[in-house]
Amino acid sequence: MSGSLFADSASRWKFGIAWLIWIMLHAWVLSLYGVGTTIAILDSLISNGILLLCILLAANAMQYYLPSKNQLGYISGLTGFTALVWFFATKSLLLLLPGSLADYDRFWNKAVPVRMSVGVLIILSSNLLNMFWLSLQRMQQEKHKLDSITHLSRQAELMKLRQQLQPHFLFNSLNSINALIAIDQSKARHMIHQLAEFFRNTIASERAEKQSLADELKHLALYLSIEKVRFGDRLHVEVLSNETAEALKLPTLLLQPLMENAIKYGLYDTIGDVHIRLEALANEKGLVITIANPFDAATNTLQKGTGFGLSSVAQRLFLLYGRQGLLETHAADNLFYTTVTIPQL
Amino acid sequence: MMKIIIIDDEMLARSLVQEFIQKHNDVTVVANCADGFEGLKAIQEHQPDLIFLDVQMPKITGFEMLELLDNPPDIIFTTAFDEYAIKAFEANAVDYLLKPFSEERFEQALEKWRQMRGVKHVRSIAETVDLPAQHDRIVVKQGSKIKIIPVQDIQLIESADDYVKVHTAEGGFLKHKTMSYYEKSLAAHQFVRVHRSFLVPVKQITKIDPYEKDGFIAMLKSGHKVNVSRSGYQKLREILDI
Repeated sequence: MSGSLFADSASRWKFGIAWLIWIMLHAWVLSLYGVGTTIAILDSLISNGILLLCILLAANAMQYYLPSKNQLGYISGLTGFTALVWFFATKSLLLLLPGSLADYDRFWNKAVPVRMSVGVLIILSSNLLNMFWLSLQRMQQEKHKLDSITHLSRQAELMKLRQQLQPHFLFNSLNSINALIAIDQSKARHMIHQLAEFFRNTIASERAEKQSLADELKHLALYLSIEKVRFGDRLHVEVLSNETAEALKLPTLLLQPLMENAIKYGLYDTIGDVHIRLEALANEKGLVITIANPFDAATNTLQKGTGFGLSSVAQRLFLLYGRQGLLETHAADNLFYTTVTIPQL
Repeated sequence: MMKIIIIDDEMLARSLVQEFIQKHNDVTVVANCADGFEGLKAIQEHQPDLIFLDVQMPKITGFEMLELLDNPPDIIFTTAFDEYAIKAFEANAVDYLLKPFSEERFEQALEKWRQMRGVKHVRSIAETVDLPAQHDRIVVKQGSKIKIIPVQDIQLIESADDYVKVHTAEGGFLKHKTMSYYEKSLAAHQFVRVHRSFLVPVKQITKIDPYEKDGFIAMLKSGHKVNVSRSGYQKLREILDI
């Protein structure tokens, strides 16, 4: 299993070396008590070999089953059981050694308490270590899962907030083309190409997260040229920007819904010519774009509330930059101003 | 010769209707209008037999324009929005043309109109546009002037025979609609029918006192005092959570 503490090759090496040292230490201690070298080494190998086996088995068991509640109780039980298995297995193997070691029996009995306590200690620490390791792993997995869920929902929300292709825009444009075919065929053809380019651009832009203001403005100009065919002389749009601002990046297709709102409320709120102004500039806050459209403060009900359709743009900016207040609106002298600030990271 | 008026804020959309209609020599287009105000004036002036009407237009929508007509002509709606179709038929429309429409579809609508003409519906728009859609404003006519009242400016709606009276800071305006129509369409704005004759925005209420037996009286911010029936009081209690 991938989750084990012993699965990692680096820690496996370190563990192996530590174990070898431990075997030598064990043998050395035995020889200090007058046990012959061969026997001391044999004893150490058998005893610690079985101990190693037991530890690995316990680790495996824990991977297979580790309760989330009362872990310490479980660990204690597992340790006790493993220690007993280890003790009796070691004892029966050691006492099987050749008869020339008759005296060994007596020595074994004398060393039981020491052996037992050292063995329990080693098994317990190994089990505890494993427990912490596994808990940590589980926590990381949970966190990872949570992270990816958050990421996915954020992506989904961003997708939703992006400017969806407006079917009404398409239908009305097609209706205009329908009329133009009888009036001015070359104009009709021109509008078909503009419409096609607009939709191609829209689809291409949907794949990218951000694009430069220059590209965004190009796309906007295409959109505006189509709207101008529809609304004729009524619609006047002025775009003010400079090279510094145009080099800066902003989330794709952010301006079009803002412009659409401005046109919609400009056209439907007033009679006669509609002047809309877009101004882009770069300052210490980042890229700041303001769109101004006329509206009638006395009769307009939509711009007073939240239902101005700007909330989706505001929410998109919040998700991308983690900050509120990147979209602000205010009204003055029958003009409605929408300002977006794009922080440059 | 039958008279036709085309009302649409897009010039090309108007010219398309004009083009299709030119092939019929028993009808003539007497006016082309770019918004509801122009439309209203032209309808009163020419008394057309049929109008082609867009919905989304400057200042007032096509539906709002219809509400202001006492005796509306036959209507064929032309719009790119299919969500108004039900409302259009409630308004006794002859047909509903979804942009972009073909000449065949246009001919079909016109043919339908020719057949329906003999059987004139006498129901007025005021009765028939009764779809409780969401309202965020009410359009009223005061003499020759048209007034748009945002919902938040309404202090009280009171029944007045066949009409309702919409009270605002600038005075009361009569509208040929029913109380239950506004009760439904303004519910989202927290208007409560506190009495058979009174529809009140909840936020206008400052105080409710017991009045006579079983009854209550509500004081409004505007200074109006309105009777509150027992069932009206129950509705208020539910909304105000008291």
